[in-house]
Amino acid sequence: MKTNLSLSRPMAAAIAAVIVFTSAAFAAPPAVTTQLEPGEIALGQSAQLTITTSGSGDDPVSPPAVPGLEFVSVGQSSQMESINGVTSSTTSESYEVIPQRAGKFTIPALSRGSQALVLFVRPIGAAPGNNSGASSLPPPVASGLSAGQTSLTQDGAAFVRMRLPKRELYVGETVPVDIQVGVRAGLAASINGLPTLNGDAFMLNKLSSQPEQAQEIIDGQPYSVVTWHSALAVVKPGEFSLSVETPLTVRMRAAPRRRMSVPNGMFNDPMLGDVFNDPFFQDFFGGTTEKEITVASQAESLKVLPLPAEGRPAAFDGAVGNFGVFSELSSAQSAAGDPLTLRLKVTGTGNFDRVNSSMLGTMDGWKTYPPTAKFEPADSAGYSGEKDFEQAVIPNQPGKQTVPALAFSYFNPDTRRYETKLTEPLSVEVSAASAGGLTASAPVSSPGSTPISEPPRDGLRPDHAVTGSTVATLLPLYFRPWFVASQSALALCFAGGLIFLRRLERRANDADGFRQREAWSAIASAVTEMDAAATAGDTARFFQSARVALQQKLAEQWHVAAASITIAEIDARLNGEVADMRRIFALADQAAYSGQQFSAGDFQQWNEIVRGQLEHVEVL
Amino acid sequence: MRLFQILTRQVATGKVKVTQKPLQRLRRETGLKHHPKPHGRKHHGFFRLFCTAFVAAVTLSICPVRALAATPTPARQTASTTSGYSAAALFNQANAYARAGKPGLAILDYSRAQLLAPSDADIAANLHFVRAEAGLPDAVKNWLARGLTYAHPNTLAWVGCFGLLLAGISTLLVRLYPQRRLAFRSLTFVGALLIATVISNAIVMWPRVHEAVVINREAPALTTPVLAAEPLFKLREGETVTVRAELQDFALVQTSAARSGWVARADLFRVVPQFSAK
Repeated sequence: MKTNLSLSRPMAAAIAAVIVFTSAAFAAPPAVTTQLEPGEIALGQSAQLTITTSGSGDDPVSPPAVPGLEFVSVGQSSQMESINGVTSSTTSESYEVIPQRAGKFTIPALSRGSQALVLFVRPIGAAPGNNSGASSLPPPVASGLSAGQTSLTQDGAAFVRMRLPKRELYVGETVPVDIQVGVRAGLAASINGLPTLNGDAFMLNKLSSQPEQAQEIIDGQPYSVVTWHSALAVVKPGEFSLSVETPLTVRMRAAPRRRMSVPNGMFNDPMLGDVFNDPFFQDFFGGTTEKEITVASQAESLKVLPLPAEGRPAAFDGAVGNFGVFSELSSAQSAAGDPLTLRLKVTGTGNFDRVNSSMLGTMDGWKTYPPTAKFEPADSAGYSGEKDFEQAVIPNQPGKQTVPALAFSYFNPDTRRYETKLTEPLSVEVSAASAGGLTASAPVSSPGSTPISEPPRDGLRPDHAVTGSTVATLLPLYFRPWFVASQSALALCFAGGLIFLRRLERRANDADGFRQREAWSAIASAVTEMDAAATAGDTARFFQSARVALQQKLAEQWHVAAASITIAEIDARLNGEVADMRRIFALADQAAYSGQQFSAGDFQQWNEIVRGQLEHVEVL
Repeated sequence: MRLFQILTRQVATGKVKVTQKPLQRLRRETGLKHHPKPHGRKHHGFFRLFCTAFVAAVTLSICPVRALAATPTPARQTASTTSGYSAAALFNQANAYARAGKPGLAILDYSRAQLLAPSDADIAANLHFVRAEAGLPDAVKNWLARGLTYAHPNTLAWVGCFGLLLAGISTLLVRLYPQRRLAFRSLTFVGALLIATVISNAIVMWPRVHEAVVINREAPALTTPVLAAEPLFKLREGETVTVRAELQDFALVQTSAARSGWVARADLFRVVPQFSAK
């Protein structure tokens, strides 16, 4: 029995093998079905391709190679069924389809029974449903700008490019500039801020928050390119290096999202192997990471020339570019005192911020009002457009009146010289003032765009005619320092004059007292001089000062002039009573010519004598 | 002897001219004291000095005005640019702001126009109208303040300058020509009256040059000059306040109801620009 059992097992195995091999030989070829979800995505998104293989056969079916599409395996699942002894297995392989550019892609059929799949990839920002493919993408901007130098980052993921029309500019000139930021297709990236200039000699106009988007192939790699159209203003002359930089956040895959191959035998449990092959698990361990980078363009060398001084018109106000001017009047017929609107249009390209209304001034025979200005840009950069000036003018006299030609001067960087454009003179037939004509009060509003003909609102009195007389400041004159200073100086002059006159009056009313004070002052001065001469040992000066002091004293006493006091006068008046005084006068004459020198003791003695004589005079 | 006395007196008073030598002898003999004449040589020196100083002072007063007058002020300038202000242009601009629904700016420009043309009825009427529309009361002025501010301040300033000249010259002439004392005293009085009028006008105008108008719809008045401070009250657009002090971006203002608080300077425009409070 035992032997039978031992023989029956190999026999059963052989029979089973025969059955299996026979069934395999007669089995149908494996069926392959493919499914793509969704059928339309935007660039930067991904679709999922599921390839299901049913029937016998263990070889997985790989997706075909499609240019512009990248297939990344994200998982596999298997199912085996045995019904009434018939065994069937189904294997599903999932792939993430990552487009590398926008357009229409066809995934060919994987087997005879399957169908080809179509994937529409629309550009970034394009509305869903536009399946025209890559042809709908805007072509690279065709402008007069240079191609610009493309400087990719080290990994070739992104670039910033600046496109300028020329490399030689003039101060004040405004040129169009395109700033392009490119990110390699399939790379998830976001721009964290607007591009900024690296150069203090230039100013960039405000960049739009909705730039243009396009596709571009660089070195065989597709790039999504974002373009800002702006204008670059030059501030100062010199040779400068200019570049642009942009901050980017790039989402990068930390590890390749290939199928994590779990070796056979590593996990004997088939369920565990399925867990590791799950897409979620793969994302968890091999997810993406964000990296902030700053991408800069290649530095451009620019030469900025100063505006030439030669040939500069007097009316030049800094406008640089290429402009045309045109003027018109609101009507060819009017009445004296009725307002008309003079419109001046400046069109072209250049720095419109320096185009002002200086050409609209006063005109003979016309009353003019402050003009208003309005700029209509023709492009997003504000580089070209039309600037309109409106000025209210009123003819003063009836008859045929003419608005003279208006001149506008600017510097043309193309011709490299100053140019002046003139408008045509405008004629208007002016009739006599109508009964209701506004001669003294014209309804003209300065700010805003209030029409001239607008009637004044109820309750608000109408506008006044501007006469042209202006003041520099609203501060009243008497609060201004120069006025206060001048009036104070004037008041001080009068006060000084008044004090002087009062002093003269006092002097006239008290002549004796005044003369006495003058004499005392002269005596004190002479005595001081005498002391100084004694100290210096100057005999001549000592006695001359002594004589002067005595002369002043006697003159004050006798009410005569000091110069008239001589020895003879003293003798005549005093009859020789004062011998010392005579000696002093005599010594003064002698010392002046003899050069006689006195000792310090002599000076002391004579000093006491002179002072004694001065006191003695008072009792005479 | 009588004739001698008369002759002596006439010589002494300068009515008869003689040479100095016989005059001195005569004085010695008669014992007459010499009284120097007020119009001596020194007087000539004083007058020369005074005239020089007077001309310099008048020139100092007039030259800046001539320089200002000589400065070309093109008619195209706007109402309130740095190149000049015009009452009519300010009035028109204020009307435009009023029509555009900006009562704050309208009241500001009306107030500025009123500084240049205080007696203009149109400005006063429109200012009253816009204030009434904005629910703001008119500033109450007594008859004296109205009278003193009726004329243009700059005109009054020159009237005061004339008054100073009149008072000063007439005061000096009283000393020189005492026989016409009454006439000159009257001129001095008139001059002093003119000066007093101008000083009174300046006193009345002084608070006005410190006024500011709220231009935003609501301006909170804070307890301290920091943004995080607690608001005390809110000022309405078009309300006129007096600026008492300024600190960085804030101004200490006082309302007509005597309430004070710090207001952001961006919410205000001064009636007289470029005039800072101390």
